[in-house]
Amino acid sequence: MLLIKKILIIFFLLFSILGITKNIELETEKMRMLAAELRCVVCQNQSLLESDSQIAKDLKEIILDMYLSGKSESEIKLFLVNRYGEFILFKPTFSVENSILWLAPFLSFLIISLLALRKFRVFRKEK
Amino acid sequence: MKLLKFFPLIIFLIFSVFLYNKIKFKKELEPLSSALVEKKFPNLKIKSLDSNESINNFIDNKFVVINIFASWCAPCRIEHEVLKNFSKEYTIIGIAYKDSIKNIESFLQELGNPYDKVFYDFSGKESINLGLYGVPETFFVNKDSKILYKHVGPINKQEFKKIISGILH
Repeated sequence: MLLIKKILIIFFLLFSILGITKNIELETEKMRMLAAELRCVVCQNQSLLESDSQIAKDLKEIILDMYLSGKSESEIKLFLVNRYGEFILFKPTFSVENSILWLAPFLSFLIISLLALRKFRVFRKEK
Repeated sequence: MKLLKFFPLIIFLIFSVFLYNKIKFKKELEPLSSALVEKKFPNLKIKSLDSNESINNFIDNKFVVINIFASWCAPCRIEHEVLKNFSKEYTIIGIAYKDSIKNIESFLQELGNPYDKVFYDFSGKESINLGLYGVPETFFVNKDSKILYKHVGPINKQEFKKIISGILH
């Protein structure tokens, strides 16, 4: 009976350790994916993931800690934007200040379509 | 309809003038901005060695200059002289970044101590809450604990005076 208890305890500990390791692996992967979307704050055009600078290492550790403590991706992004500004995001968020940036492709498409339509009508009339 | 013919040319001209102006009147390199300017100084879990007082309690109701430095940082040595010049006029607080007590003590013994108090960020992670890019960095914080200005890199005498006159007047 005692032996079975011991075996069960060993199995319990083993599975717990495996579970924790798996969790760390999963969160590390999430951290790597997020770090690839973030700009290194001290290097030119390098992502946080690629950067080997000390500050990038610290930021990656902080992101991993936040993931392990159950924080979501948007919470982590907000944490970083509050400290480093939108500069840290490769893909800027949609806001009033950024609206031109986001709407420019659609506006260009609209203008070009209108011009093409007019041209097409003129062309048809002439024909 | 005739005007429409010139539309691409007009766009091209506007764009050319815009780019020409950008090249001709190139702005001076702006200092790195901080998302924390005009915001409240964040709560930091760092303490000084001589008391258990937190940095947030210490800076409350004072105009303070907060300098993040390290003994291993060469530009901090140059900046140290500047800070010593202003230490009588202003309350200067040091945050030792990723450093040991022993090294900081010998650094201050060798070069003099311009700081009213030194707080220690051993792991360097608390400084991330200040949007740190690297050492040295200097923050100017008003009585309401609002960050008025952040200077990235070693500060010189002229810059220090310019910042002070800019934020106080």
